[in-house]
Amino acid sequence: MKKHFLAGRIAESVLIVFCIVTLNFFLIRFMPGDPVMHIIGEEEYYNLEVYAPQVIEEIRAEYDLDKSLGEQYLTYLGKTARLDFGNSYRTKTPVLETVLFRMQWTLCLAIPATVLAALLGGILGMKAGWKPGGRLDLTASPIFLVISTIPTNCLAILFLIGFAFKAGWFPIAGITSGGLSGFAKVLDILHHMALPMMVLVLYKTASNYMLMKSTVSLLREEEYVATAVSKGLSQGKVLSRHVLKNALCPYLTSVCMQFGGMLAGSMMTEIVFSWKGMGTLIYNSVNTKDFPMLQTCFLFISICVVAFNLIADLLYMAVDPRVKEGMGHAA
Amino acid sequence: MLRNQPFAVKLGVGILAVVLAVGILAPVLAPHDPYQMGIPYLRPCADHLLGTNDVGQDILSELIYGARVSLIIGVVSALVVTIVGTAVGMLAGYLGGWWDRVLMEITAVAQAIPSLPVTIVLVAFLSASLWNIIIAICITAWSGTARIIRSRVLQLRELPFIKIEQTMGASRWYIMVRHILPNLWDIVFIRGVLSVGSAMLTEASLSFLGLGVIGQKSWGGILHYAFFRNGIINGYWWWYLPPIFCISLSVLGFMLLSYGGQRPPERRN
Repeated sequence: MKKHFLAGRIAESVLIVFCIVTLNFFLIRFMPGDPVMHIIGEEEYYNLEVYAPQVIEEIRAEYDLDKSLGEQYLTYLGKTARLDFGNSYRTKTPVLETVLFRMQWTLCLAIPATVLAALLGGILGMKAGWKPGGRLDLTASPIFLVISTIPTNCLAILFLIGFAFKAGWFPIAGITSGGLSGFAKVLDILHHMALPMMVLVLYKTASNYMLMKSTVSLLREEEYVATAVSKGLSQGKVLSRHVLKNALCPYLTSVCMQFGGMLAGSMMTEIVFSWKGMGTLIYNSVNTKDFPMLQTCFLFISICVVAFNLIADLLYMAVDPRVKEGMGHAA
Repeated sequence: MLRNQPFAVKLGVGILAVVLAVGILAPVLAPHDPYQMGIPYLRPCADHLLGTNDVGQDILSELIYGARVSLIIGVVSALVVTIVGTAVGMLAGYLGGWWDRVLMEITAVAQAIPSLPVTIVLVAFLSASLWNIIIAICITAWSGTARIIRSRVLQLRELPFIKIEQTMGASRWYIMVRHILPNLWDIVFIRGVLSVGSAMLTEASLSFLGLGVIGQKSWGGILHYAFFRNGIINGYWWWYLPPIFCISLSVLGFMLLSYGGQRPPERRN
């Protein structure tokens, strides 16, 4: 049964990736206007149409747009499988290289933020959920609720103004000041990282906190917890041995799923702080109408999400002995 | 009806009533035409209470008109999301079998596709008209509602009164519409109200990226210009703070309103 479930989940993940690749394929071909226009951009297209119409045909041939739709689709699938995304017409550089380079900077920001927020949100949420109506619950819950109503870019802008412009504690934009090497460079990058990271940690902590709080406040009502308390165990022991063990499972899964969203999750923050990661790459591609770049970003983000969702499910299955069979949508 | 509700819900209703009134009465309330250009970068003064932007448009009037786009996109998207989500969840949950398998597989796909990136890609390809933006927001957002509705329907259909209806020979559609749907109202309400908030957030992000409805004022759009046209570096707080405040306040309003759908604790079980 376990194996059956596993195979089902893997098949589903492959199906989702396949759907996304297909969506990407049809976006360029079925949007109104000549597909070549979407690859090279409207302005360039009209220029070429007037001055060098043969170039348009060359590009059409380069991207196989002159063949039948079925043929195009097969070549497209083949190319995608070989991770051959071609060159960006705008920047004249290989798309894959640019995306991977930018991805590394996003991960550099997002991984520490996710880990930090997982710890912070988990600890605070557990304490607040253990004593609903307590001091921590009454102060932290409204704060996190308000944070989750502020759009990410707005909070990021407020931080930028408060801590970088007004207080001058942190640099305004970018990843490094340049011209440094070795340890000094690392410190400089950390200094640049501090503000965007704070914003990310705050948002993720807010959602982690709420999840942990609601899980723990439900667990509190369980009979085995009451038994543990009446046995005379200290509060710390009840929490660590009985509550934590049971709350950790859903929590870990959700943190793992967050990991998948991290390529996209930091987008707004990156744009506000001009952090040269995937988010700013997407923003620039939208502005310059660089569709091949935009699509490749989207593909990588989606694969990351799908992969971590799968890992989260596997993790849940491995960690929680109660989940043996019949899990999935049917449960 | 409102009297028995907790303070949070009343506050939410109050906030939303004000925002709605501002949106509807925009032509009356706005001191200037928000599209009329004038002297740029004016500081707040008697004529322009919140100053003017980079092309000399009155920021207060922009804000007042901006309520319209944000509300329309938020409410229409939420309606679509809720109707589609409820229909899918109900069909999958009540009919079961192949319906359930196929619909839930589609839901799983929609849920796994990252929503903000797909919305950005779609709006970037399609032209940024009001309807295209609404479609792009809705395309994945219905999946969460569908899942929740389905799991509630699965519980409901095992209840005695549904079983009795079935043995009496009532048709599936009759049971779904007359007996299942009325018992879903509280979830539908909560999910619907929350989706207005999240659609407004998505719209704000889109227009912040410059992908908002072309030629229409929206709060995210004001913030876009304030941010990318040096409003921040120059410290024009009257330009960037009001849109941030308006977006956050309306989303908070919808969030508070969603508490109104929760049943009072004593009625549970």
